[in-house]
Amino acid sequence: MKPVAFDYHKARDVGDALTALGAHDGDAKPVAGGCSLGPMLNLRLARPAKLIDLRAVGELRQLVRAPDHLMIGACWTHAEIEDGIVPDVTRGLMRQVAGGIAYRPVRNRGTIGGSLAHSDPAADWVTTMAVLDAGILISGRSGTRRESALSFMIGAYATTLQADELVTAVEVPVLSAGARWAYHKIARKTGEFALAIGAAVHDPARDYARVVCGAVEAPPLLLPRTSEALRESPSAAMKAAEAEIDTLLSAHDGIFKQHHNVAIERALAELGR
Amino acid sequence: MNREIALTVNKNAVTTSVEPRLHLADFLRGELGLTGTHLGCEQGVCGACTVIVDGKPMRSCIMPAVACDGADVVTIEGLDNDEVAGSLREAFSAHHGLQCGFCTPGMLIASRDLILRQGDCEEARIREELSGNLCRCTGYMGIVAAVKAASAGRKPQAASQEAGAQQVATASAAAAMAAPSKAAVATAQTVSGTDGWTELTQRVKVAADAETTWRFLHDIPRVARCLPGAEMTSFDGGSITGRMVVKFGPIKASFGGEGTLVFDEAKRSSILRGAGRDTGSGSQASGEVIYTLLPDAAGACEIDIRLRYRITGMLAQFSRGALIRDLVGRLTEAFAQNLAAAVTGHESASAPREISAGELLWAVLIRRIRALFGRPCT
Amino acid sequence: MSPTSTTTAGDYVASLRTAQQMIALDKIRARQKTPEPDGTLIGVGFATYTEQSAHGTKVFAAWGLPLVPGFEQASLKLTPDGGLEVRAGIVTIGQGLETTLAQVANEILTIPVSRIKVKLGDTATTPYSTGAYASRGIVMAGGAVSRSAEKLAERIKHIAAHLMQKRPDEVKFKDGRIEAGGARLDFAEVGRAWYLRPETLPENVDTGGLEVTEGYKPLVDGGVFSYATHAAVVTVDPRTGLVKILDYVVVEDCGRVVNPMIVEGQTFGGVAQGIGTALFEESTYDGQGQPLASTLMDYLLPGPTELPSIRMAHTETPSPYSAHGIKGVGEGGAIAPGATVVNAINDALRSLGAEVCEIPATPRRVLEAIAAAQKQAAA
Repeated sequence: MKPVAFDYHKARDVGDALTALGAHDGDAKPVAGGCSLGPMLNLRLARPAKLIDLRAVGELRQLVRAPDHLMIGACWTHAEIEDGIVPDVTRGLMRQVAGGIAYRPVRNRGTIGGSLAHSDPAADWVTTMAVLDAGILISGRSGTRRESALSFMIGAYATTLQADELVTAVEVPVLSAGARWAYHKIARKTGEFALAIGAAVHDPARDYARVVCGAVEAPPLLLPRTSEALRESPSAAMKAAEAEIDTLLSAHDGIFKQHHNVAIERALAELGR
Repeated sequence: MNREIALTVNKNAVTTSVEPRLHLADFLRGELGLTGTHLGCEQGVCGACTVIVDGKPMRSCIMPAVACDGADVVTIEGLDNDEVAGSLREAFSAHHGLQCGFCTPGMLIASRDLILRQGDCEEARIREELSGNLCRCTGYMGIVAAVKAASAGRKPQAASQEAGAQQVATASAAAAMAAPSKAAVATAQTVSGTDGWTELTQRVKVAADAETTWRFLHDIPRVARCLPGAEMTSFDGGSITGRMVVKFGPIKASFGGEGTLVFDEAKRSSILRGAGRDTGSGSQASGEVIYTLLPDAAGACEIDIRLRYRITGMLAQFSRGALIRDLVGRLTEAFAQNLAAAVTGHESASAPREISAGELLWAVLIRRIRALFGRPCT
Repeated sequence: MSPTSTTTAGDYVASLRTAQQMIALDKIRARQKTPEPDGTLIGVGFATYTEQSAHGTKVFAAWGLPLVPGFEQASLKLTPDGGLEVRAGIVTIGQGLETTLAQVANEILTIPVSRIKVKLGDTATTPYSTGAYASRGIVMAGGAVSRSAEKLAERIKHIAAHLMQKRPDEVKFKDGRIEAGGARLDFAEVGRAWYLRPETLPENVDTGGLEVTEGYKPLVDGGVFSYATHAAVVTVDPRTGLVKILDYVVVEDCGRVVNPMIVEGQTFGGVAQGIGTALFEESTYDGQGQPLASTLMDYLLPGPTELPSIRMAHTETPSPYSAHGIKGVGEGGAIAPGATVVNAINDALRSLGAEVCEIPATPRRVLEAIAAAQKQAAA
């Protein structure tokens, strides 16, 4: 199938993109790699009046290093993160995650900002940014704001992003030398949407511990008790996880919960190794 | 509206005008006659359309040609004199790496890129790297053997370099979202699928007595305004016509349709049944909402909302269709909250016109509370 | 299907034994005695099948199908330069018929494959055919090429004998040349005689010339039966329900093997599709008949990481009913993997008392089978 007709605007800078977005009463759609939007256009599920192409916007390709975080512009691709062209301040977590996203030709095009703005619950960056407690930087015509990755996503394909706002960058916290992380994905096929993702980060030097269930058909699910127990040990976290997942995912059936339990259990086991 | 583009295709400068919706693969095949690029799924899955854009393999079926203005595109036809592609072609012949040949252009482009990046490759790595290219004939046996043979003894090209990060600290402004406060509290919902129908139940406590609430539920225009995205165009006591606009990521559907509303005064229960069609996607939705009023203690009551819906057509058949449950869950949650607020006269002056992030204040708030406390808000 | 006189051309027991040795059943059984370090369960499965190939007129007519195949035909022409043109109505869809039909012609005429031009499936220039299906291509079109080549060979020998002043029964073909009692002749000389120097032809030359169209049907309409044994070793993760294929072997018998590489290519592709059926591919519908797997994101095809490196062995039991003893092989690879893989899964699940009885064996189905077994054990 072919997309319905739409207009196209190649944004020069963020201001130009925001003006163009605002001019279309919510019917303009920002696009970077288009790896999720492209299929939806072809299937005629998405029928925007205009595409605002962000790929030429230099501001979205910034890399700014601060002592405690790295700001990564929204238009860096998964492959650039996988290959280490974008410096990895997460001690290998982001490079590993990037390498497991879809397939190489998709990773060459798809961007971290686009993936976060699209917010497919099974997408890797959504869960990774949540477990890292990354910040999402957002620009709108009325100014800029920063939102934590966990609160940014509010549902499947839904974020707090307004129709005339853009994700411009992510702020990824720098993990300390002694930090440990694990990311375990259960998927039927290489590159396929995950059935479950278990993600955990423990950074004692920063007094930080977080365990998150990803791919729950909703925003990533923080496990507060398990996270707290992780400060003690991975095995203590494992003990807390099952009951917590059973409670938090009570609306889902046993197999769904089991996949998430196993993903978390294996992530914690890897972290403890 | 056509757009002018200038790009390089197989080292030839091309200046032309294209419709923005034309994807790169159709541009290459239809406009330039470069039919070596194949189209399999047009969903970015099968990999047959893989071409090289600015030195990197990408899916040409999900990339508008207009977005390739200024790009350097190389298709399989442009690799005739490429050394690595040449040895791959020989190896594909020698190892029976193709039968029908449909996946072959994409396979050659993906495996050439792999060899350039990795040099000599192990079988497991080859399988991993070619996982974005589907083949239906060979079981990948000949393909994997061919790539292994063509890669033998080769060195990777210069390793990618880390970008120079500016050592500049950023002052990021953390702008807090204003969160509205409301008194009503909703119970957690349950979701279940039966025979293509999805059911959701929701209970909401209302700070008004049952009599007042029941009278409010007869005020159809006001009730309709509580449903984000709903717009009533006519109501004659029993039948309703209207429109419901739903936004789901990049998908926007506008269901126009009609419904009936029946009140059971004795049970203080009402049933709204409706069906509508989104002309854009050709999808249809039908559903029913049953509200039942449950008297509570001292001037308060509860509304029990049961929603059943079914969507047919493209919207329900695309790959992430299950996620619509999450959307409808949020929709019901917002409806319940708005209803509870409206009964006590706290409805907002302008009703939300469609369900989307900013307008779903309650859903936002609940999700945030959930995130903070890590459990469903009850 | 019970073996009949048509299906018994083969040693099925030997096929199973070979597969058993190749997959190293003893070693797998020994390995199963100790738990796998990663908590997965290991299992081995076998399946032996027959494939009815090139079944013809009576079978299709009895099925009441609108399409009933009759005789398959091929036209062969010796060209003035001594090359050969083969035209057949059968179509090629990547199964390599251009190569294998040329090989059949070469078998009889010895003209090198590089000098044989094969043209297929063109209603303007080739004989009529109902097409490539039911693993009939090489049996039917190969048979037609063979019969045409035999007839063309007689005409060439007749002309060649006259040119060489020998008896036709003395004339032989060898390595792309014509020989008779020490004398030699190129095919091009026969071609030149017919097309350009008819005055040199024998008086009683066949006026049909150097172009022959012949038709073919095997001696039986019920099909010639290929067979094979497949064996697989899998691991099942009892916590996730995910299945991984560690090893896969095929012991295949398609009668006379015309081209081993093509037979293997057809079989590997078939096995890949069969593994797709066993583990991934499913057209799901909701209770109202709405399709739920309408994209390749939902209808999962196995990719290179989901498939093992397949090992293969051949046995050759020629069919008594077809030209050269050839049997069809196009679809066979896809027949056994469903049974083979699920047998292996169920072997792995034996210790849990669980059994999967539905394909594809998705993680959900595997976990449901395990849960059902646990429930039964508890009751």
